Amino acid sequence: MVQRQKTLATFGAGPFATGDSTGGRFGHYTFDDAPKLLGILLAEFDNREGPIIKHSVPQGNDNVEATFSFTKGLIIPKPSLFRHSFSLSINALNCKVLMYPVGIDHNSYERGRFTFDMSFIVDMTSSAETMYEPIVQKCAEYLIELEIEYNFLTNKKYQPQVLEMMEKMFVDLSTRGNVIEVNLKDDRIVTLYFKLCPLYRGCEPPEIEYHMVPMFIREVELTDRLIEKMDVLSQKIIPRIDGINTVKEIATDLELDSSLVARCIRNLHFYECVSLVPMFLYYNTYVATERVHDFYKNQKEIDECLDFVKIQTVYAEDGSEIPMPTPIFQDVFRLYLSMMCGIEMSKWVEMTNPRSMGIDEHRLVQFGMHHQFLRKLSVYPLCKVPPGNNSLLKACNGKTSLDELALRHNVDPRQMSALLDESKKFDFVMQ
Amino acid sequence: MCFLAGPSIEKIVSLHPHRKPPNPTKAPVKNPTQVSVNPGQSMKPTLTTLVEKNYGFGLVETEFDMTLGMLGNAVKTQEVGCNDRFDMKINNQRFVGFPKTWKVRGGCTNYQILILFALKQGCDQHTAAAYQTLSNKIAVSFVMLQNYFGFLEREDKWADYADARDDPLREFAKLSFMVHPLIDMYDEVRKRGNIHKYQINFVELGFCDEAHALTRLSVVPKGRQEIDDIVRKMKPYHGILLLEDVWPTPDANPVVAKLLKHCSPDRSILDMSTASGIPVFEVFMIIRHLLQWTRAILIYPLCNTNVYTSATSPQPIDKMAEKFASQFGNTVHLSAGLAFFNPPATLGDFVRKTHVLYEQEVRAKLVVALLRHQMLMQLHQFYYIIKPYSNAVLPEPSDECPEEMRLMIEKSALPDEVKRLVTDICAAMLEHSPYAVVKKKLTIFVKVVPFMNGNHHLEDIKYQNNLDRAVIEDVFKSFELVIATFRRPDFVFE
Repeated sequence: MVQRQKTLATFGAGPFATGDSTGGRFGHYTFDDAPKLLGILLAEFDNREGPIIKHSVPQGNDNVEATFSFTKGLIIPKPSLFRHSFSLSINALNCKVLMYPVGIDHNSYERGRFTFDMSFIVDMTSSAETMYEPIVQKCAEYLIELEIEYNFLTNKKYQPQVLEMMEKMFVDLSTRGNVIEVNLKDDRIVTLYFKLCPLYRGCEPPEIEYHMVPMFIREVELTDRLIEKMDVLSQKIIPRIDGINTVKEIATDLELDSSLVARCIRNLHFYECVSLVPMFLYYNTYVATERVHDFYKNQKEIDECLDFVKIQTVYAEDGSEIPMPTPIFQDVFRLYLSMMCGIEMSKWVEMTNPRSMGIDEHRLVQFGMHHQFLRKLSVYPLCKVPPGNNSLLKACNGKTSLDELALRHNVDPRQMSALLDESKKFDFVMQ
Repeated sequence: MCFLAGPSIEKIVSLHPHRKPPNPTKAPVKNPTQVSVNPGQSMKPTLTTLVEKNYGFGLVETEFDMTLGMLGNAVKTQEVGCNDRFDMKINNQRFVGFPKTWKVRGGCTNYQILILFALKQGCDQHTAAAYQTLSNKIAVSFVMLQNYFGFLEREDKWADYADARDDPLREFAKLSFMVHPLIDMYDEVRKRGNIHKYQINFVELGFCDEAHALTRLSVVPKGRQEIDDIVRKMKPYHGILLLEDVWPTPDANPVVAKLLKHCSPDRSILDMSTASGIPVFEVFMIIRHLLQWTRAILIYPLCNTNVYTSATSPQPIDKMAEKFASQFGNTVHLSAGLAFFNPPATLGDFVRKTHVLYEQEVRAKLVVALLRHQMLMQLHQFYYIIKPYSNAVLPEPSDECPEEMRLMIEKSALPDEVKRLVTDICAAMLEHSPYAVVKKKLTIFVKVVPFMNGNHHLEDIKYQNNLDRAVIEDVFKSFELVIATFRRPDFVFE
């Protein structure tokens, strides 16, 4: 999985929800499951010898040669298969080869065609080799441009640069996935941009519900200069993201269409700038999840938690600081375990009185939601009678939560719950 | 898809289902020629776009944005790669198979057969491995049949004949011995998720795509690895729920039929073994088989003390409500069943709510149906030994704890931070309970302490220590100050 440093000031759930807090540029990740890059080879079609390896890194690696002889027919295939991406597992060598063969036609080439393929060989033990697929294709596109413009691959004077570029790619992609600069001989510098992306970037980000609260998961300082660089919609929306306002509230404040705001936030969510969390309400019910067991065993997380959940400095009327007790682990852990289905937050606070133990319930829930020890339960009304054409009855099919219904009809959720309950047409399920 | 290589042909000769590309960019060319410009004449560098000279099978357009000819070229495996798992991705479409090559007895030609499966994007490694195994099994069965009947030479000729026709796939299907069994197998896998059949009543073929089979039965899909994990964690106190009627095959072990007669949701594996007289080990083997062939799911046997709550399963409630209405009529609504278990409630409470016997039965059946579709999940009580709340009222015994008990506590696996408190609890208990009772409770408590680390639930602790539920609950009640409880589903099922 992607290693992300989590910030305590954020909530999160699911792959899109959490992010790092290093304050680095967006999308700056380190990976611990990125498959190991075993080698890169540049193959060409030699008019006398057929498919050959022009360069390979790491140099002198027999496995690269063996891989080439195994997949020769696919690395330099028939012309009809050019510009299709291929990946082939080779069990005997325990590797996968990612290929993107290309042919360029021009009368300057011997026989009028230059065929090449920059193939990447990755370890087979990880199923995340798809992370390299866009890079193989992008690399081929860069090489096409360089070849068309400078004869970068065919001109002998650039051969040291080609090898140097491959070595740089091999080292940088293996370690951090980065920008590579290529110095052409005549002082021209070409910059190649590569980046390994997490697997879930390939998926559609989830739809944004209007009652969700967006929250920054990166410590980004919103300077005027940074805001100026954004599109007009983001310029308006981003300053309103404070971890309290829902998508709908932001839209109402800005007099914008909710779907536009949702779209902008979905984009920010996709790039892991924000996470989406349910509103913290004393009306909500939170339950401990099985992940709380991991927390029990993780001393580092326990220390982080104890530091975070304590009641922040409180001042008396005369300005003096009121001393607050420091939370202890057994209290925090027992409090988490005591959050269960059927107990609303307000009732839970009355029962357990966390503040008497120096624990801020809001921060306790925030920490739990962020680390996924806690889950918010939603109430789903289920209609017991045939819905007919009634849109409200139709919506009560187990997919629409009470919060969502309340938001749709601009009614307080408690009032909505009471109204539905009174009608005797609904059952309520918590999930 | 079936790739066949023989003396006269080296092509994909069968494709099922044959879906045409959604937006064909070009109509199939009757007599195609190379449409690219002559590369040597190109004045400006251009990227090679060449339509290969193809005919017959090679011309057939596929939904994979390639012709069969191109696909055939791509999947053609070198001899060194044959008889091994094949996994290739072409433009985000994954193809898996198991190329098989062999020489016909007395001949000198190498035949190659590859049954290829195009899998959905993002399918896991286990599904791919399952289809590779199926490909191998099919290929092996063909090789066996070839050894008996020698049909491949004819197939090769028919493929060559069909290659010259307008619709080669259809022509070949008409004549071929292989195509129809392959289509049957594909349809069976799509329909049921598993295959168990005999090729011409001779070669046995069995295969299960677990996730697909479970989806078809409206059960939350699980992959092979998850099912194997469940099998590994199976204990004698578990039970099973049959997902549909299971009929043993004629050649099945007779004890399977016997066990199935004694199989019910309120019986554990141990109970089934006792009732049927089949050794526990054999019951385990049969149940493992039923789980791996997605005929059953593992549960805890139904009992009145079981606590259930609604599961966060992705089952569409509206569709399930219709299904339940057809099964249970109007006596009890699905939503009423689900709503009852929010907050969590015991089975006893749900079933005994009404005293009409018939309705009790219906309610029990409803719970079984909800469990079968994993819309309910059972919650188990897990325990942690931990210091009490900082503001808890602690016992203040007037007398010291006896030496014998103190030594028991000292030697136990209890964390040091709670030992003093446990001593005080024992001393406080002695003020109103006889020594023997307190000693017994302490003995049991000390015995189960190693299981109170959040990894074992009550049923497991009971089983591992051979204790009665009431006894153990009484002990936990006595030492509740140093115990934190947590209700959650068991990882074995969820």
